[in-house]
Amino acid sequence: MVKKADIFLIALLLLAGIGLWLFFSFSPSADGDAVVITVNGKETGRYPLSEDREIPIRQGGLINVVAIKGSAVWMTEANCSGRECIRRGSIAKSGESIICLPHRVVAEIVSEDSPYDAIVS
Amino acid sequence: MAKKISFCALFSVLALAISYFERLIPPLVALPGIKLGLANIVVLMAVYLFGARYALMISLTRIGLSALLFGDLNSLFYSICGGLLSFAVICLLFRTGLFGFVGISAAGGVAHNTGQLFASWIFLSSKAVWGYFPVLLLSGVLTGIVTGIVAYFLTDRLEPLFKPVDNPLQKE
Repeated sequence: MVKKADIFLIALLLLAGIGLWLFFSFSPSADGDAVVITVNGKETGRYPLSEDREIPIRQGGLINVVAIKGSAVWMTEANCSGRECIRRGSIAKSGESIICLPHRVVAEIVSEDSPYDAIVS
Repeated sequence: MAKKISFCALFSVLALAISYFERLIPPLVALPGIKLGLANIVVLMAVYLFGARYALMISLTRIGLSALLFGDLNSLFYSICGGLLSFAVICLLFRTGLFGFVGISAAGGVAHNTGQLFASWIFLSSKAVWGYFPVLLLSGVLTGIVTGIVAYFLTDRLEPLFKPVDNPLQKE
């Protein structure tokens, strides 16, 4: 059932997984400056974390609401099937993201010095 | 030949039934995108018993019917990406002759999850999805080990039933 090569292969995969996981979770990440909203692969807005606000994202009947409060970002509302995006909780560090797969919405925290190019209320 | 095709039809329906059954049981962990992938058992057995071409037909039939009955175009795309990549990896590892069911299945599970992550990468065009890769890699190994063990025992018990399939001398 299990050959020597199997154990080697499984150990290799497990090591790779644990290694990557440690790498992702312990790589130093700065506090973010802004959240970038991407819908269907297109960036629709970039909002500074310093300002509390609610960002509604409507695509026909598909609704997502992203909230910025106290430099952290949540998905507060979504009418997708799994609601994984809401369960994801808050993000604040550069590189973290909330993904709503069924609606193809991504909210990703970035940290950069360049001025925000689209600040719309 | 006719017998082989009948077996393949049977396996396709079996795989379809298993995927439906898996939709009914609640998720094992509260993480998105993680499931046992029980249909993998059928594909694994098919590669071993009937060969790569038949296994591919079985896998594609299962994916197509499953999308028609329970899914939509999006889920079809995810299934095809995951299904084809894991099929390719399973076949390659089988061909080397070095690995047993469990190792092949673990690699297949990882390949399946990677294929689906790739699909979501195409859908979202955001590299943010790859942050989830370690979780999917580890879960792919673990679920693959489970399905591999099941496939091993099933094949062990059922192989005598299918043995005459490739033997033209044996009268049915």
